[in-house]
Amino acid sequence: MKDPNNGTDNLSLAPLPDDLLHRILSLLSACDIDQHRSTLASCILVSKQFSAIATPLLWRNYKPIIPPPCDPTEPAPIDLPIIDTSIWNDNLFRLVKVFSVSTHDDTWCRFSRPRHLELPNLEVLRIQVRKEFAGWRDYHSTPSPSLPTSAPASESTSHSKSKSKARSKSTRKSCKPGVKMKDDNCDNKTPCKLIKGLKPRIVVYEGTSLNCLWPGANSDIPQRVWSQVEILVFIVSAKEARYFHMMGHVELPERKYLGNLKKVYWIFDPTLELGESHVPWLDGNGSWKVDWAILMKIFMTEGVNCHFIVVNSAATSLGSASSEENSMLEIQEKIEERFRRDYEDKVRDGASDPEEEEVRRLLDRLDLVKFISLDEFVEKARWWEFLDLAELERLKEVKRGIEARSNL
Amino acid sequence: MAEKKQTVILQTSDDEQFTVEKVVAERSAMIKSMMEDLGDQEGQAIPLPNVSSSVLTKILEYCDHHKTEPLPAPDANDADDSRRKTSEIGEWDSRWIQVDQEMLFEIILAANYLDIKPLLDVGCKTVANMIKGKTPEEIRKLFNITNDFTPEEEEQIRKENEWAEE
Repeated sequence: MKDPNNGTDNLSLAPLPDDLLHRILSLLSACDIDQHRSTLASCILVSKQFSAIATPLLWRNYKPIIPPPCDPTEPAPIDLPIIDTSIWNDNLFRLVKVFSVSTHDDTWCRFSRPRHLELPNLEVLRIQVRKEFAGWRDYHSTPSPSLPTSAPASESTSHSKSKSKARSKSTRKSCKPGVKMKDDNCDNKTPCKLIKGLKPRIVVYEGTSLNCLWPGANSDIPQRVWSQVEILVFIVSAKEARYFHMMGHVELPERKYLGNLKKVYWIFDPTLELGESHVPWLDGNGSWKVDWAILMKIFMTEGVNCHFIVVNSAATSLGSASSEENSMLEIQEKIEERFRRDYEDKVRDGASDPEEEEVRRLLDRLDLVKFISLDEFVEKARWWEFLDLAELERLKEVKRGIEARSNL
Repeated sequence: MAEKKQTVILQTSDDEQFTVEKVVAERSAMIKSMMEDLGDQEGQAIPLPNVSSSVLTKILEYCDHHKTEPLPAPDANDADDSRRKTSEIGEWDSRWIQVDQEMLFEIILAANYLDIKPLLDVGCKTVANMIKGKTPEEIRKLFNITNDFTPEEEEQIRKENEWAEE
């Protein structure tokens, strides 16, 4: 009684309908971002059907290949790589929603064509500072001589030029890329031509140290980039939180560029520090210690009225005695308490009359601060707008690790 | 009487009839809405011209295992959704989906036709995992497709997407 037209034998030979193929390829994003990219790049070469579906998925999140910055201890190569703009394709650029760029040599982005990168549908700009450049506030690897030579009172290294020079010398024989020193007579910074024309709604500073978070007026990140930004996300290495920063050294873009800012997420990512001895928050006397220079600076800036959401703060206590004695929630509460106290002190210290209007206004802003756990963040924030699934998984992994430890 | 009301007859492409508990059949949003349309016309088989008996047997196994779970809400934004969910497949599901490739593709097509979202997810995730890390040629083999690009087109695409290769 079998239907002779029943084509079950050939089903697998029939091409998958577009919507199913789209569904399958969309699910690739759950894996590691680099693997995700290379797999999609393979899919694009499979056939026209695959290409049509995989191209928007791949280009949604675009990260150009950036040549590693030059080794400052070697003579500069004659043919420094510059961006190959000949392969730029406006149709593909229209697909880009997330653009990631990392520390690069400023010779690379000085491309000769009189145009800049245009990504009309861009939503998120992710700025990654390469680890070896932690300590410079720019994401160009050629530090400008206009950098103030007085280092912040800081335990952190490599803020001042002299220190950095010393470091460069000490790494002379190594082939690691280092900080390239510019001729002292050189001009001021050139705003990065590559990102000059971008108008993101969200900016993410990724995997960088506090020392690099200088979105200031004097930065090589062109200020116009900030004009549409509503959400600013710092994915902060927990280890760097121990460094001391002074507010005077924190720069913000000019106020007129921050008018749209609604939310600042401050997300602690202790991934890289797992296994290292001690992460911040506690000083030798067992009291909470943290410096909030950047947070407070943004917070005290007049005209900036945004919410502050500090995520995963408890994870930074990993490896310290506190993580064994307290639950994650208790740790978070203590850190929050400390922040509020520090902030109040700072506001009152700076005021001549503790009753004045300005003091009230600044203290009222504490209502805009929220400390939340990773779980709350996952549940309530629209994290998928600026984080990869794989990144979130990495954070969760750490959380599970801490929980496992505290259960021991 | 009461027992009779709880079953439904499904008829596959190869004319086999399956008497199935309603809660099991309801996993399929498509069958569910057909049952609602048919109302109380008992004993009338619901034809599934796109599903063979072997595939339906397999799928009913899945539906039976998950029959007590809440039905998924119709989701508003699929594209956003796929960026939010992990690709982990449940333990039972991953054992259940260990079938040959032809069956896997048929399950996906049938899950799509029958509108069983969680099953479609399991199937698609399984295929996605198979694609991961493969070369274009390996993917072509997997899906049994031929390269329809000219060498020039291929070269152009390769150049444009070079940044994404590892």
